[in-house]
Amino acid sequence: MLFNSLYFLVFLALVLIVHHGVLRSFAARKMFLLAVSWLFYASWSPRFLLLLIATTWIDFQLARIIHRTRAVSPARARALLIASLCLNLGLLAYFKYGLFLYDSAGAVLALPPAPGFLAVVVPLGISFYTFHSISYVIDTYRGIRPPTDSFPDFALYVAFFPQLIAGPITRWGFFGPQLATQPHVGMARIEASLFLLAVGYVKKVVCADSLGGFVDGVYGNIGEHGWIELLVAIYAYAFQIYFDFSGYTDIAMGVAGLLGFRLPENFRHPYLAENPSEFWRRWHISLSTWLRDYLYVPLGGNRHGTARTYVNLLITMLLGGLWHGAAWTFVVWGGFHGLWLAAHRALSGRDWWRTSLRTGDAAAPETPRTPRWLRRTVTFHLVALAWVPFRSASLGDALAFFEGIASGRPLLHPLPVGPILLVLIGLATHGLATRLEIASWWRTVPRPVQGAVYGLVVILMALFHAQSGRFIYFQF
Amino acid sequence: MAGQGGRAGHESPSDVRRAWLALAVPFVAVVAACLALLWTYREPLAKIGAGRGAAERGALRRLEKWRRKPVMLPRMVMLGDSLNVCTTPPAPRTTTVGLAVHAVINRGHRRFDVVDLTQPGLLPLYYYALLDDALETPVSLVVFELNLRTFLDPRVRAGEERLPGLARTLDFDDALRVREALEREGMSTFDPPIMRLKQQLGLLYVFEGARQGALDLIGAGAAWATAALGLPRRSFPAFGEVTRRLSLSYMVDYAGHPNATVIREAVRELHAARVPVIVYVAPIDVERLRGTSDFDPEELARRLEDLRVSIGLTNEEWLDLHAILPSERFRDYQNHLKFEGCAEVGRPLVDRAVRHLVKRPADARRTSAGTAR
Repeated sequence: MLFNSLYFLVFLALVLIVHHGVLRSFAARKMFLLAVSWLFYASWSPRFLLLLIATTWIDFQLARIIHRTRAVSPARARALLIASLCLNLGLLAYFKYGLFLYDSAGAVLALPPAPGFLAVVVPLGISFYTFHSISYVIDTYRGIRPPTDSFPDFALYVAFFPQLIAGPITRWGFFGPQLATQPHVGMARIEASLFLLAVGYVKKVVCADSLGGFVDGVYGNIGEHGWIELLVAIYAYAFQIYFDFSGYTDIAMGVAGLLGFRLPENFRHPYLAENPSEFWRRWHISLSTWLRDYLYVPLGGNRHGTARTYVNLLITMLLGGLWHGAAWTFVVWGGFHGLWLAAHRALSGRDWWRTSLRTGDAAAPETPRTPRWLRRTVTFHLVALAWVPFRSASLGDALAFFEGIASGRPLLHPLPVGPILLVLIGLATHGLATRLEIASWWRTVPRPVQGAVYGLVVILMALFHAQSGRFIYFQF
Repeated sequence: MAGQGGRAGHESPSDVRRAWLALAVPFVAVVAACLALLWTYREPLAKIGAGRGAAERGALRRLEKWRRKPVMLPRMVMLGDSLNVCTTPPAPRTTTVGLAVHAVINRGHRRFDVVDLTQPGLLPLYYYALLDDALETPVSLVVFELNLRTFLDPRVRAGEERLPGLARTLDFDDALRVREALEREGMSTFDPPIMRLKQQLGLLYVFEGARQGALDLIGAGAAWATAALGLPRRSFPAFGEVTRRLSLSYMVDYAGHPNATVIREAVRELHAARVPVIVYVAPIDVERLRGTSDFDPEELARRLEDLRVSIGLTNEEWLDLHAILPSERFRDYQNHLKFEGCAEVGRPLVDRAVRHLVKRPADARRTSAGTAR
């Protein structure tokens, strides 16, 4: 059930009617949300719903035992933590990476073709709900917060349908307190949620899917397209994936808001970043902070010297790349970002790279000597270039892509004006965001105007629905 | 979210009602106005939208014609794509495999009609849909063409712009079944039941037409910009490069491809309806492929045999013509044929078709499409 399908809208309408119109007690509403979340997942695969429920239950129990034993028997708590990690990461590795690892090893060791049990379908959303559970168990082990005694609450945290398939990756510390008291869903929250829904659907159905048609065509036949088309495809994909994923997140936040819940922010105009470090504070924030807290910091972070910091950055980003999928293209993408982060960290410590604002305030931030527009331009272009291996079907295709740009081949089709316009719109919305907090401004717009705009959004969705496709991040 | 603008604070039921009305009334008004506008211009818009569909352009029109015609002779239904069109540039002489078959069959005495539903751009998915309507008239034999290029992409080629035609040919039950099949195979997000609903409301092509009209405007702008900027365009992809890639990728898993699922399903239904079927593999330029790279003809033959078995066809129902033509019969790297090619494909087809019809004369027919599905 895709967010951009009529079936989902009908499902959502029914859920809202029952949630707000029929059920009164918060406990009943939570149970209802858990049931519909599981139903939502079962609509894709009832078989894998059992897996989701089973792992949820095991992690729930393990976390409770860890909490009870961590003070009296740290070794036992540690063993239970390792058991939980083995379960979660083992399932992730089996479903997502088993075939990839076997094939990669087979290429070197001349192994026979992969056995059938490795060629399995990857359960939808496993990368996301596994990370929910892991962070919950680790936080319990660290004593950051106690686990819940309510299995339905924990199960709802893991399976809450707006964020089940593609995030944002939510922490128990963020979501759990929302399950304690019944939220008030007033007009202000409804209006903010409707705004998020409208923006998300326009991003996805109109912008991302329109760009997707062009991008798919180019990446499907790299050798046949001219250099200009390939160049435009780089920018087009950069905005396709942004519109697609941030659109999904907006919809998820909007749906959650209509049910009275908040989800964490996942995007903050990422292409305005001035360096890679800032980019990762603006792009897929819930993943980058998860990787920071549960991978980079446990690896030692920046506490063990410069060289070790660079290695930790590289490992974190390589695994972050691999999280997106079992392919060398994602490893290369993650590796590039890891190296870039390390290089930026190394350079930003040099005096010739930066200059103090010299305000006299010792705590004042220091900025590089280069102008901001240049830093943003360079960062955006490096991010966009890194999307090429990410989007390519293979490393060979990625190389062919860059060769194609260098070849000077003439156009295969007329100049892709439509995608260029959408890329310009994407850039303009980023630029506008620096001057205007659009969501705040929207609240000042009279309600009749808001209603009229929502009407136009519905018509736009109907017009563009025929070309609408899956969300990119569903595959991760 | 509290404390936003002047709208924070306590909300009485009447405040909430007023707020909802303020949102809902303009919302409904705008939606209604836009729908009215689309309805007003539905005919030109539908024309634009429907004009994009390969099925609408040709196959469905021809099917309608055949459905209206009285059944005088046993009918052989042909389903295929542009590989059925044979032409020799630059002074084009054009024919089709269907015409070639028709000519050979009827050279002596008329024994059956050839219902040619082949159409450039048709996908195997369409065969499945077109059969639904085709079988509403008595049919003595169905012939599918398999274009191996359609198997090179592990997914079914997008082509969503053509799929409304598919939905149009299906009733709701079938539309739901097709949707399930599409989702199971991860083939498409296209939604046949919704398309079917739009068809019944007369809106099937109106939205598509409006969107396509806007895209046409952008396309015109693109063509103008390309010319104005003097940007060079290629007329054709580099042949060597394409064949090298294709020669490698012809080694795909045909039996595991979603196209095979669709054909298998169609064949299963034809078997259930006791309608004879022939599936033939259209020729590819094997001669040229052999010279370009590590193309492996034996391996290809083996994979095609796997495909036959997986579809559930007997040897008698399977006609592998992939290697019958020399290189000079091909017009391009996509395996389109020159004028003479159609006759050479048509001959073995006729031989096999006649064998079927002699063995199973015109009594192998269906009278209702609803019985098999």
